[in-house]
Amino acid sequence: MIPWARRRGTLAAAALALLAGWELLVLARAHSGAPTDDDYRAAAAAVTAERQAGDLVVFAPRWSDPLARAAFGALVEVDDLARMDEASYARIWEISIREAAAPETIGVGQPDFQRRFGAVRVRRFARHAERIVWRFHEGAEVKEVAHTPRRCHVVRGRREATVPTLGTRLVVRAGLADVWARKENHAFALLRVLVDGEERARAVIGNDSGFVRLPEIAVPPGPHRVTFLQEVAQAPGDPTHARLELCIAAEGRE
Amino acid sequence: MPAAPRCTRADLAIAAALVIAVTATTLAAATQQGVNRDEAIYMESGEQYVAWAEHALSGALARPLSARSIDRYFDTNAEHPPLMKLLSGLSWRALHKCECASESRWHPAPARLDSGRHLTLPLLSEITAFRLPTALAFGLLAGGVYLFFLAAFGGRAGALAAALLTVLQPRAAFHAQTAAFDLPAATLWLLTTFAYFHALGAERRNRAALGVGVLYGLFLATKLQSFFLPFALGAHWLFLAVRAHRAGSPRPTLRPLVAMATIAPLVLIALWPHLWHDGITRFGRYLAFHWQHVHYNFEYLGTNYNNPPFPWHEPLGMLVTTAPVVLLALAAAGVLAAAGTLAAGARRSSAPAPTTDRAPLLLLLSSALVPIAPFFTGSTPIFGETKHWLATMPFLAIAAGLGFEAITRRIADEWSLAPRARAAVTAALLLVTALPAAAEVVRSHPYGLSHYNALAGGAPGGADLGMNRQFWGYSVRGLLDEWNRTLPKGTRIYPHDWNHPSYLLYLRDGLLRSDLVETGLEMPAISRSDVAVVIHELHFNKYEYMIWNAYGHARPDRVLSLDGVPLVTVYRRKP
Repeated sequence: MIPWARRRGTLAAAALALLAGWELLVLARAHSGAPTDDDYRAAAAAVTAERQAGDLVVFAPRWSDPLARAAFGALVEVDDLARMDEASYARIWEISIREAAAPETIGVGQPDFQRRFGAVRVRRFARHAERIVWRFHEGAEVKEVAHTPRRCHVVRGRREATVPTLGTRLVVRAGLADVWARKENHAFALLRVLVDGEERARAVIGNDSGFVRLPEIAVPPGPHRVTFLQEVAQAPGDPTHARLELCIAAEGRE
Repeated sequence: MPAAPRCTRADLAIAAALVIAVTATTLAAATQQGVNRDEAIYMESGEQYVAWAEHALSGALARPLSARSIDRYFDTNAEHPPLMKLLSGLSWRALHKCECASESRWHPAPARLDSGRHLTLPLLSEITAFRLPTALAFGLLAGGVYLFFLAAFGGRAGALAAALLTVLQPRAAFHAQTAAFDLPAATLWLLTTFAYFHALGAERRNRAALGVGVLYGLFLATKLQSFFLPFALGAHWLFLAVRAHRAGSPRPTLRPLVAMATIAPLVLIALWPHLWHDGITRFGRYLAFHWQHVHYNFEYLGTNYNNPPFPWHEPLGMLVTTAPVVLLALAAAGVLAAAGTLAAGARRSSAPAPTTDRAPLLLLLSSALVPIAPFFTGSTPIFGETKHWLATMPFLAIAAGLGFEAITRRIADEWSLAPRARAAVTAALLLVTALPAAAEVVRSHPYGLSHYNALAGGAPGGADLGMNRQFWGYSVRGLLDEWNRTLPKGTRIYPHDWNHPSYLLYLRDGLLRSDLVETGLEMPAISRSDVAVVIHELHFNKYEYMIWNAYGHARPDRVLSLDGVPLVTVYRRKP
């Protein structure tokens, strides 16, 4: 009997066969594990039955969202997809495949609803919702910021709004819109936020900053004048190659 | 490693069978393949180039060799050499079936037929006829790998494994189905390397060197990657020269390299009428175009890159997530086996290797590394897809063949197998080796650019990792039948990334109803469309949001997908 140490060729062949089998198995599972339209439709029916006005539906992983949206239809509005953030939503429905978790549900706590429909998992999370009293970006176009949809206004130079009330605080987010503009741009934007003429927050925003949340601004009750000032930051970056499509969303909240 | 034998008639028959089988299979698969942006332009160019030859020969051009005549036909797509476009054009001209006079508005202006028909052998559709030369190049690659393996290393089993693993790669198979240059460039890299290797030991040295020069000339006339091949072959030749010098032996023949430097440029100039007038300036423009080439968008590990610096490991990351895993494992085994053989040889004898040894392993190494090496710098223009270093893959498959050969030989020794039993074991192992790779090619077809291997977790795993989904806008082909059946007459379609030349080719081949209108580019085109598509790549998300703005909703009408990964999303404007 030859010891197995002298059967390296046989062992290598066996390893090759195992590897080939594993490769086939993984690819077969990737195929068979894909969600079907029926899976998504069943999940959509379940969410429809339980949904309340103002619920947010999110999809995970993010790349799965076109297929899911095709089934969820009217449950997913453009305004929800292009939201500033999740602050105004009291409940989040997470529709996921491949055991993925949506960033919006991470750290929210345990789901109060969970069901599976084939390859699709539906979870519902409850959270504290804030009341929005003013939206700067109401009616703005949806722009691409960091490859995600955002309803926001592109501000060049100065933009001002007079607001009857901002609630108790002003929340501002901003980022550079348009992948082609970012490709050409080598500069950073300086955004300054003034309330009643006084600078209350600022941020330096570049191509890779994403949709930046500026420091929250506490405001007293009553009318206010909000001013957004955008200029080219002198550093970092290269101010001579600036193509800054600074897109701003802001909400007064309480 | 076995001694390299001479090729027998049986081996030539096997190589011929590989050429025929691979070409035929690829051509059949190509009928389902979408037209990609670039190849549509190459097809148009090929049609024009061949029209010049036809008009010149028929006397339709008064001064066919004048700059004015040549430029009218050859100014298009002058940033790429002409060979594959010429061959595509010739194949189209000889084999297509069309109503070219009545459809003249869909043809490039210099090639339009006013009346009558082309005299052809109407065997193929227009698109498939354009693609025949690339499919043939894939067949030649398979046959070439088989013969090169035998000539350099010996071992029919390893040669067959190498040939099969060369063609059973989803991305290579994809590129072989298009009338583009990347696959032919890989073929010519391999064939020129093979010819050079042969010329080093050939008895009829001038003839062999001439072959190297001509092949390299064809490579120069195919794609820019050709400029890198001398580095691979030069490094190998230098090694042989230094070794010979140390041994006091005559240096290896320089003729193949001299032929590459002298004959090859003449072949390029002869094949490229664009260079016949003001050639130096125009050649300079060709080089400058690529030297200053725009950086594409490419998603890698969740980040969209469109400016340097790029991650140095991107080519490696793409390699290990797209090539069949069995190929990668066998290639690693082949490298280990070769290293073991070299080490054993060195232990047995301290004498220098005989000068008749043409150091095939070193040639394998340099030929595999040089195509991919520029992309490790992090700043090379045209960053991204595997196609730019596709020439590495046949050599990786040859390394895998070495691994396969080593395993089968060891098994035969370990079990003292009789020839018939040995053949059976080898055949079974070949099946085991080829099966997953074949399954990947079949499963990913016709969306080979969206394929990711088992290490990545298939296409969904690739999406999880944030890898490039696809490019070139070809996948929309999967929707055409449905559109032809369901869209109302005169529907206006925003095509996103499939360009106007692709649209025209679909019309020419009857793959798209002629009443369906393509609306053009960017927001104005979305605004006047009834149906809009977005072809999913990370940097294209913007266009999906533009469609939401224009249509006022975000509900897809249809999503084309591969294993649950969206490739194309279609929106319809609400009435």
